[in-house]
Amino acid sequence: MFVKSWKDFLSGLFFFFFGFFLAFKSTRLSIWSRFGPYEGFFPLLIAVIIIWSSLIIVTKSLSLRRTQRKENILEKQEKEEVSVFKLSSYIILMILYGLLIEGVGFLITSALFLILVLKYVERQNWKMTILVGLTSIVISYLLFVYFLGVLLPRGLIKW
Amino acid sequence: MIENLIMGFEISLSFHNVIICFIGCVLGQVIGVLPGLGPTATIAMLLTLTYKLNVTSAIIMLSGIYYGAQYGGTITSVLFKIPGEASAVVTIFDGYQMALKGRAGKALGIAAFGSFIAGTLGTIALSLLAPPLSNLALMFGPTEYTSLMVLGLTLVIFLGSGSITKAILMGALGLALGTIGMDPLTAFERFTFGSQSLMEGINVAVLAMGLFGIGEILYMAESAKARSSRDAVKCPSKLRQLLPNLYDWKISIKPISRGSVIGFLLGILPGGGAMIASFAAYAVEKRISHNPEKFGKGAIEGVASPESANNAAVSGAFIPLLTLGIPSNVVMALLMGAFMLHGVTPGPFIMAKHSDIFWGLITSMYVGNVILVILNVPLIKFFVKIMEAPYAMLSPLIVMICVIGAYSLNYNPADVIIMFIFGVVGYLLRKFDYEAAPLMLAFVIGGIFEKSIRQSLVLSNGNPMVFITHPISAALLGVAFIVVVSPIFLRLLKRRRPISKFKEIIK
Repeated sequence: MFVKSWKDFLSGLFFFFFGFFLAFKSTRLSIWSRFGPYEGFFPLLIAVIIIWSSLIIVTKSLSLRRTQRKENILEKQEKEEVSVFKLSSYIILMILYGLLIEGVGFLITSALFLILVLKYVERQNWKMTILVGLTSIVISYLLFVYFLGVLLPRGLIKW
Repeated sequence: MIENLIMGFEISLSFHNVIICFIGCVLGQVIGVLPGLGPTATIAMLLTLTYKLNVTSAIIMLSGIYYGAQYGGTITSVLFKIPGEASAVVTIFDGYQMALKGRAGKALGIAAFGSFIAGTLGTIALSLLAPPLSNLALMFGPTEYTSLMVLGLTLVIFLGSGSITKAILMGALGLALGTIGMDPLTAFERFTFGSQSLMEGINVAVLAMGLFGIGEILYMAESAKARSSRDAVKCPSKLRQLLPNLYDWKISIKPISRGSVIGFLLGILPGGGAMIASFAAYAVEKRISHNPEKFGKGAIEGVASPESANNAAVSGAFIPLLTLGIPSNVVMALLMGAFMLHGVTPGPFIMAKHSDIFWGLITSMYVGNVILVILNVPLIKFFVKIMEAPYAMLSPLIVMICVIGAYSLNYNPADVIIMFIFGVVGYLLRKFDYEAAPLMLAFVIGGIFEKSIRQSLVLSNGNPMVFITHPISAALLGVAFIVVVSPIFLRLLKRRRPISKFKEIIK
């Protein structure tokens, strides 16, 4: 047995186990009563569909014969173009942005996010970083807070 | 009828009401452009502006805000792949791809003109057919809604361009995400894992911004090739070259017509019709197209049809409100609130007792559509310039705007985290060749589907035959069955043809 497509095999496997997890959690709820279906019925039905379809994907990703070399070369070329630094930087900075926005405040977290991304991830010069970052924060703050009355968190800035 | 329309135009074309409508369209569009702030939030925010106006002017302004916000959502869908709300998701599939090919102007142009045509047709249909069509809304109960949602879910198969099994899996995942939160019938907590933030479930705008907007930013961050293609986009400088040409119109006019009809009819149905209008119109176009493979890669029909359906659904949604006093969605509920604030109760007697308000409102819809076209067509030149800005500058700004949009929904930072999590999910789905479109459709209609199916089974004491014994439900299920089976049948037919030809040769 050989794997034709690792993407399909791994993702199918993930969803297969996810389906079982969903089914397990659904059975902890009430499924049916004499009045009809209860809250566990629908998620259980969905779990069955997820398990069934992921099984098909996993099955289709396997082959009795070894896969052709051409497909593996193409997959390798795709891997070479990935910028892991940029991707991981964005993810880490975004999560920190979300975690700190309420405690530290919108202005400070947004300023830090914009500066760090523009300067160190996107490699812009300081002039553009400060100009773009500052302008966009000021405009956003005026638009959302003063014009639309959206309550953005002040955090550490108390005024 | 003609006299009523003349009276209506006299009211809506008064200098005061034209200005009111214009202000509403502009405000609605400016706010609708901001991710997370769709028509519902926009109307809720600006409702207080209408307190000092008379009831006709207030409703005209709110309707203008509604149209403007819808078009604002289209702009961000096309330019940044960020939908303002659920109905704008479908425009992303082809609108954003058109923008990546330097055709953002054509996408925005056909959306504006298509919305105008659909709005005009919808307004005419509303004025002629409001009373008879209002009975259609009353004929739909939980059983009929279940079957309608089953039909809607079969469209999942046609939204994706890849594997049908993967599309079904994504649809199931979307339904699963829709079960997070409180059970719609028993209010029992499901899959919240003790989190207060998940008690009300995942917000559709948060999911859409995450999957599509943040997911796209992560994809662009990782792929130098995609980034350089995006930065190489150059749009024509002349307005005439930016707008749809004769060929674009030739291939768009029928999708606009079909989208208008689908959107109008679905918009009438209270509850979920308008939400699935754009998905349904897109899936129908793809299904009947001679070149379905071009959908998802920048087909102008993929923008024309759903945008027309959206706008026509607005006209349709007014029917149950004005004739029966039943708001068909949250926006209509807000408009109903505005009516009642001014001492007018929408319902069967509004045409008789307040004919000036009724016809003034209907004709103002047409005026609003005209204003939007006049306002936006010259602005397309400005909007497409944004596409030429370096993505390195735009991406952190887009993230910041999405954060504001997500936070402002419930003033809960958990929504921001959830948005980022789904951004990572959206990126991973793309890397593993799964499409988010079926997930989004299933998520949008999942809540209504579950509620209707359970209500139907409770009312019938658990008897599933109720879906067959109700004629409208049976008809809808029949259509769904044909939709599912027809591709398989056609494939079998194509396979048998070579054999029959071979037999002929031997003879």
